[in-house]
Amino acid sequence: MGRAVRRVLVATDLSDAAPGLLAQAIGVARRWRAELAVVHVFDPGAYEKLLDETGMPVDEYVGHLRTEMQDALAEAGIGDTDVPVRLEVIEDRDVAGAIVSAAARLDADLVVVGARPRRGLPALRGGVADAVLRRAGRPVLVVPHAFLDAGTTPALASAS
Amino acid sequence: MQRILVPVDLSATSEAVVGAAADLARALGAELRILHVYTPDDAADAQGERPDAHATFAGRLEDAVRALAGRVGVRADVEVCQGWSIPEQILQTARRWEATLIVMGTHGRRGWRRVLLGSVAEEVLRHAACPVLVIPPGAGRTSQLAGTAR
Repeated sequence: MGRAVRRVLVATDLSDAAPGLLAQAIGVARRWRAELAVVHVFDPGAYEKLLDETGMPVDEYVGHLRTEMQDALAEAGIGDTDVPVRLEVIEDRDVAGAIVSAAARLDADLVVVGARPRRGLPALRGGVADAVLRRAGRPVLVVPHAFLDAGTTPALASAS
Repeated sequence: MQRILVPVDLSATSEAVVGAAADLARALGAELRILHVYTPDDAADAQGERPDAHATFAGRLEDAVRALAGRVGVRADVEVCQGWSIPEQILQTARRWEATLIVMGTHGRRGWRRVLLGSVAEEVLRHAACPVLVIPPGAGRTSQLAGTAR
């Protein structure tokens, strides 16, 4: 029998789907009494554009992102649990690569990512979820945004 | 009641995937169903080897899936069905059975078809209405997601 799930990493893009996705990850972490690492990767190009427009220092930008992550966690109901949480904001052009590296560094037993609907030839779409599960080398739970919108209970967290 | 659907290609990695799904099902008190989809080509190839009737071919596959469940030591429903598109059959079964989670490996399609269309897992998670847990080769029940933490 394998070892338990001790650390869950959830990658969020801080979109409208973030609280739903975090709720899924919280459900898993709670079920297995695991730690939860919440990771957001931002693109340096996007930040430079913001810097040009507003002159906001990167520390302040990262602070805003952390606040958004905390707000999303609160909306997802983290306050009702005793799940230990760590937040990580990572600057990287390669979003999937940064998620995979963080999962390896934190030795995550499970990576949770959201998936938005995509169109076109799959090989050309290159979604973050696809790239993560190709490269992670560890179990990846992909949660469709449509499932989150439906307000369904966490998939890996019933019958506790 | 959670319902976990495990599509398997009956390759060497299937045992680890079913093992992980079985551990999850036990931990969650979920129902488990193991599904194998074969294509009409698979059936035609097999009938070239032996003059089996179609029903016999499907029956042999069902026996193979049951044997797999037996090796893993899990009680599960077994389903075998035929279709040209493996991902489409998996998605249809998930909808019909109202699966709350699909657990699958990353293998399942070879050569140029994989390059052009992506893996079966990628196509399934692209269209699935429920979450999909993808277990890569080598991350089965011995090392990773194996839930009976008691």
